[in-house]
Amino acid sequence: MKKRLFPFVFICVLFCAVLCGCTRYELTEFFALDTFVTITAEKPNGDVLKKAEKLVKDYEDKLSVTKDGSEIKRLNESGTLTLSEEVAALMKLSLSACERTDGALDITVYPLVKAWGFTVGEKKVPSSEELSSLLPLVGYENVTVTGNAFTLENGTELDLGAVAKGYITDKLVKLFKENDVKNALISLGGNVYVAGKYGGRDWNVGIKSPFGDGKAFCGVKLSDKAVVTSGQYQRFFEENGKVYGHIIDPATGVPVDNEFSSVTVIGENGFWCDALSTALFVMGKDKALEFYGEHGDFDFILIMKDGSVAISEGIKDAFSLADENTPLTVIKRSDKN
Amino acid sequence: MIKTKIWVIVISLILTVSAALSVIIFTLPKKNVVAIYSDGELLREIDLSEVAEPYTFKVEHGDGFNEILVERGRIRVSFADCPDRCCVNYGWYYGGASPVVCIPHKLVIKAVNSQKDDFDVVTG
Repeated sequence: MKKRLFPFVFICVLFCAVLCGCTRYELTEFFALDTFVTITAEKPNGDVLKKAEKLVKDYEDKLSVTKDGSEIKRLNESGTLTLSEEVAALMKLSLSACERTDGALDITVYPLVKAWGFTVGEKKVPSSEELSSLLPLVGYENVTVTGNAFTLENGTELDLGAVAKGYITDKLVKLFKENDVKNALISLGGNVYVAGKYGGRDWNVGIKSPFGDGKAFCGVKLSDKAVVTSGQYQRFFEENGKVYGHIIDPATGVPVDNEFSSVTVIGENGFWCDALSTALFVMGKDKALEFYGEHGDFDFILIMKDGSVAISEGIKDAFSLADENTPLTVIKRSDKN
Repeated sequence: MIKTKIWVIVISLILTVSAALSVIIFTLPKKNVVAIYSDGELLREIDLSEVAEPYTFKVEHGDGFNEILVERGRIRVSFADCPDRCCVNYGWYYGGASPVVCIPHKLVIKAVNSQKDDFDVVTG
């Protein structure tokens, strides 16, 4: 009798186990950092998602270039300030990124960003005289550091917008690790980190089409990686039929206009992915590939204006195109070294 | 013996009904419902697969507004008086993993439950 019951009891237990084993993900969404933040975590302990939201908002209060009382705004206004340990650490890291990218990323580009109206005020094309007067203010060499005291020479101003989201992402990843959250998805307005797995598989990260059709252009399956995309296709304005994007070339003072439609950088560190996505976009294709050959500690997806794509060899097996007829080039680091 | 038979019938019934429900759920034509939120408040849900004629409506926020255009299978912000116009520049939204967002007006348009693409998240 008991033996005959066993298979059915076994089936029942299996059935219940499958039901109970359904993964529990929790989600929090909110506006911060001038973007829409989405954080999903599997089986978060207690109030870890609340802690995550607080972490993001605390950093926003310190790093915002427009919020009254933020350390960065106060530094811009006074020209000299001793920063908190956390902000000073980010500033030093950011300056090292400016140096590593030979100024393609420059956190002192803010006077130009303001002149083009991309942070506050009306978007407009500045006169060449205005640009000429502002260009000397731009240059990370204008920032001097003594301990945690920072001084802005020559009236320059800072904006950490090109690196802050990546840096905060890294802090969220650390928070999740400390709270034993293994599987999570962090998206600070498309500035993404995928931790662990989703339902036992790698996370499937789409790269938005820069051609305005509202669909994903391609995708890449990843685990424990940051993914950051830079492009001019969402934040821009048109004047006299010409399109001006929000990423300004620190060397020329005008919006970057090269062969790239978007640049996606993939790596383990959110800060560097954020910094490099902007820097490579500014560099243009030849310099960006040269930089990859020299450094190579990241992967990339370059979507060109002509609709073709170039990817680094490290992601070729995880990469897929929405349209398989899209021209695709796989770049080997050894070819560029 | 009789008890065993009853258990066999009950378990078989549960499994058969579950299997049948799964088949029905997974073969039903998928709805494509998007939700429109203003400052975290759900304003309305729209099943894009059932839109018969294109129409527009306004979502007001303070002194500003977003004009939403809805067509069969897709939705977009057709006009906004916000300073950055990123929501307008987004273009059409088909219900994928990347929501339409207007930061100045705290407007979000996103898919409800199932998404139209296969991605867990979209960057860019």
